[in-house]
Amino acid sequence: MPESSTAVREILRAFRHRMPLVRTIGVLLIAAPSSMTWATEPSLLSEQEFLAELPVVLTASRLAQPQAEAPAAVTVIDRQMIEASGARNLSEVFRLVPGFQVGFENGHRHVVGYHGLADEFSRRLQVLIDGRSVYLPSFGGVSWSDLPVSLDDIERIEVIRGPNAVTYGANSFLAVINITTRHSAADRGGFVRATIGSNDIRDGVLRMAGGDDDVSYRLTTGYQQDDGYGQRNDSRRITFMNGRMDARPGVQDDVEFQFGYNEGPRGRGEAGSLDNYPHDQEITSRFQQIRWRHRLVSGDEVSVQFYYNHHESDEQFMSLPITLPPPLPPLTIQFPLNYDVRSERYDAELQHTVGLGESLRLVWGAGARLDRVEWPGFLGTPAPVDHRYYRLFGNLEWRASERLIINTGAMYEHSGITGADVSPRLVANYRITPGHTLRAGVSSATRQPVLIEEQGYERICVDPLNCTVFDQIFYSSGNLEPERILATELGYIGRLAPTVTLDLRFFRDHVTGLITGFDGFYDDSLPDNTAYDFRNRDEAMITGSELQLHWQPERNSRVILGYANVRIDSTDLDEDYSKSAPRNSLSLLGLHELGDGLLASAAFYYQGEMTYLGEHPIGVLRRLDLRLAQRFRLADAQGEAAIVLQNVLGKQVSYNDEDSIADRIGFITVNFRFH
Amino acid sequence: MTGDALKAVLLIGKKIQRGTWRARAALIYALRRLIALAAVATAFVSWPVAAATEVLVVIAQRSPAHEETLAALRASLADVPATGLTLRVMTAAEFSDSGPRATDRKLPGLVVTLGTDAAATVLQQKLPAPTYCTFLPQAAYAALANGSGERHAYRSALYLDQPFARQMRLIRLALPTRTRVGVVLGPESRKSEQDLRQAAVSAGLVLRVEQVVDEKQLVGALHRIMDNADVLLAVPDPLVFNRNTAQSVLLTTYRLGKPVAGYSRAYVTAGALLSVYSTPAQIGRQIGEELLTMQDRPGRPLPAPGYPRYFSVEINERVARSLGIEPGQADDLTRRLAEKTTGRSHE
Repeated sequence: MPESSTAVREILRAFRHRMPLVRTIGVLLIAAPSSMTWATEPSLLSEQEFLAELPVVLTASRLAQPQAEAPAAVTVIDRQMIEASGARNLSEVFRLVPGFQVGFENGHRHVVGYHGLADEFSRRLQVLIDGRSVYLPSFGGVSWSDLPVSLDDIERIEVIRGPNAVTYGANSFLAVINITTRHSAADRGGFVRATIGSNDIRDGVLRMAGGDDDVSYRLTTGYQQDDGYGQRNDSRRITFMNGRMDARPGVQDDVEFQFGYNEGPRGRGEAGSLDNYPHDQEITSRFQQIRWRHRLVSGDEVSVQFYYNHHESDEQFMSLPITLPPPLPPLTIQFPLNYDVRSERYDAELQHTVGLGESLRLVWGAGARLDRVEWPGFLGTPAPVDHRYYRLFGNLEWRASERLIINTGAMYEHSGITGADVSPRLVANYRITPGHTLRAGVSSATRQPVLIEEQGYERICVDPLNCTVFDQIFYSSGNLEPERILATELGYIGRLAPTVTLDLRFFRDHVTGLITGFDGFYDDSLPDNTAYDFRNRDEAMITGSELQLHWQPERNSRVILGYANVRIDSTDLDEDYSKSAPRNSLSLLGLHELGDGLLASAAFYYQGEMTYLGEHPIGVLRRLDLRLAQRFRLADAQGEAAIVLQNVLGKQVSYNDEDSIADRIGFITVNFRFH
Repeated sequence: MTGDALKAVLLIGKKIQRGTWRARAALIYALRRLIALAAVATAFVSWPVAAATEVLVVIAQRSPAHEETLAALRASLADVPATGLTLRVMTAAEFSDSGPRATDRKLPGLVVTLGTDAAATVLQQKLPAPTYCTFLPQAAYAALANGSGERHAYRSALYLDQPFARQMRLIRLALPTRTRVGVVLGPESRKSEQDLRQAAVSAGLVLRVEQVVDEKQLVGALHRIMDNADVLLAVPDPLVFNRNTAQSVLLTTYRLGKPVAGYSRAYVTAGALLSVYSTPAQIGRQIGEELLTMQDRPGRPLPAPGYPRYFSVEINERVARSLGIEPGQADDLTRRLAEKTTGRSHE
């Protein structure tokens, strides 16, 4: 009898692990004579299930650092917060992070900055989606409207306030935004969303997901349109699609494949301009990414990742007729204007997490990157320009005692533009009492110059053949050094009550070699003797404090407060860096379930006076967004209908006081989830 | 005959040094013969003396855990002098080969089984002797006894697993802010859904259930359930939720930042936040106590099927820290859980 029951289990196990058929048949044959009586018995749970040893799955090297032990200040934005904020654009959720500014230069160019130092291309932040950097190698910064990602597919967003080159690589300068999308097995079945609102808002999302644990997939496609600021030609029509597949070839392996695509026209130009009259810019943005994670028997982990980003903007047109000024011949001609830009990024990365005994953990890795930019209008050459970049990084986490954790590490990088650099870090976290931790640390990072800064060259020719120069706009003298940051901070993370957590931090960031664009290139042969150049001219000292308070009296009742006090002292040679961040800013998000699936939320933002680099000052900004949502069931589907009112307090200057003034917006959004 | 077997063993031992697998097989055969002989010999010696009560203990296998249970059972009997109980121990394999049969004229006064296989083997024989099935999961006993809860004068059980009520209360005590408990049920464990719901309600918790039919749906189900749950309660199921899938369960929930309440000590070592479980020694001790109680009152039927009276709580401190959870001290939780459970071992 016992032999036969063992045999039955053996057979079950064989099926489960897909043993070769021959072996299974062999087992069947051997077991056949005595297993007959068991044929009708259900599989029984053995006591062994409760007694047998299991391999350690969550080994020391696999355990993530909790916030209290992390070597940096982290703000987490989860799905509930994203929904409650009423955001329709990804860029908008960062208003919830202390120290962040979000401004819309126009309807599709959203500026997300941290501690200022941002113009319409906010270059001093790193942004990653599932480990893939979406930082544009051409302009720098992130083109938020061109990301092929739907808010509905985002699992969570972590914002590291402060540099973190050791973990996230180049350009993890003032802060790092780390977006994680949902696992494809997490959403089975279908999902549809439709949004309609003022300002010509018409959005739709359609998602299908399926498969099983061996291979699961998700396919999301969507459309988004709005009229931007209304009075301006800054509307956008976005069509996007993305897919994700998660496969598990073995128990120890995960393979993740993703692709995405975003395209459509974006309105540009302004009425009355001769060379920048209203026209469309055609955007095509796509990527592919594959990541393989392998768990070693020792508990260590190896991951390999490769991705390819492609971003293209087609914008070639003739100017309206312009009469040439003296000393040029008095002709009236149309200039050919070429703003076409195509940038590509190939990136490969290896990462290895090693547990070195009970108290030490090492994460190290290496990466290689090729950026290729084809930008004839701005780089002075029709040929693509390559920029190669390599990095090597390592972080050692040492649990010196029950209370003290030391993180130390460095990144070595080699850039084709700036050569070699090392960015070290040393951070200590000390637990005073359970639930109260102090953090003190020094970390550094670099920002690599982008191609327009290193070799920008734009001239407008009267005739395309010989190029009689009408105007030289950019003329970069090159030889730039990376910008460097040395960040010192003192932080506290504590649980003030079971439902209240507080995160407090004082910081002092010394930024040197700020790459400043200025009208500083002199050449007598140029029509007006000058052109725009980029040099490492300015430096800035950013000091201040940040506070984040989270109160959650109930599951669906939360209050999240963020406050930042920022002071920038700068040389301000060519840009008003010292005015580029508000002295005080605040965000307050409250959400509450009123019962019966009715959810209400409100977000209030305050931003003191500030000036984006190269723009007019914007005054105090007070913004209130409201959302009311009702969950319901319709046959087998789960639904939610929500009404969102943004900017309820009325007109607000968002980016500059001339033409980026946000008005009230309202929209209704309905979604269904079905199996 | 015994001598021959011994010789064979010695001879084969030499062959093994030469490293042939045939020799190993032969050795195992010889050892089996030896054990069978020893068992028969023991039977001859002890059978007539069992004037008081002979207790036949059938163990599923000779694993360290089963031996530990047995040792604790013996120890708890040894605490009481002159019990008048005689223990005779055999494995389920031996029972199949040479154990008592329903047709035997003389039967043991009580049969105690340790483990699922032992219970299955013994119950199959339908001996007209009281059978106390211990050290097996409740679900296995329910399946073997064809319908749980039905009281049978000749049959009862002491389960190895913990009552759902106790597991729910542990979650309540250790994770007071996590009130939504998720479970993924398989083809077998779904029979417990009603019990789970009841236990959750009495502990003031909300239960979220996701059902799957095979192992390949587990990760997806975990993702879905954890969207609306704060902690996962691992409910074992032979096809879906077991040792083979522990890795997927622990990795998936951990990545989602949610803790797992496991059902064994090993689950905690592997990465669950906490577990309440009974050790072999705790079960052995309780079996001994039950035997003594039965002996004190002859003619009294077997105790009702029940859950372990003694249990322990284990916490994985590193996982707790990494998830930013402070569940409290294991000893303290065990004590508080025991206080609440006092006098209610048969939940």
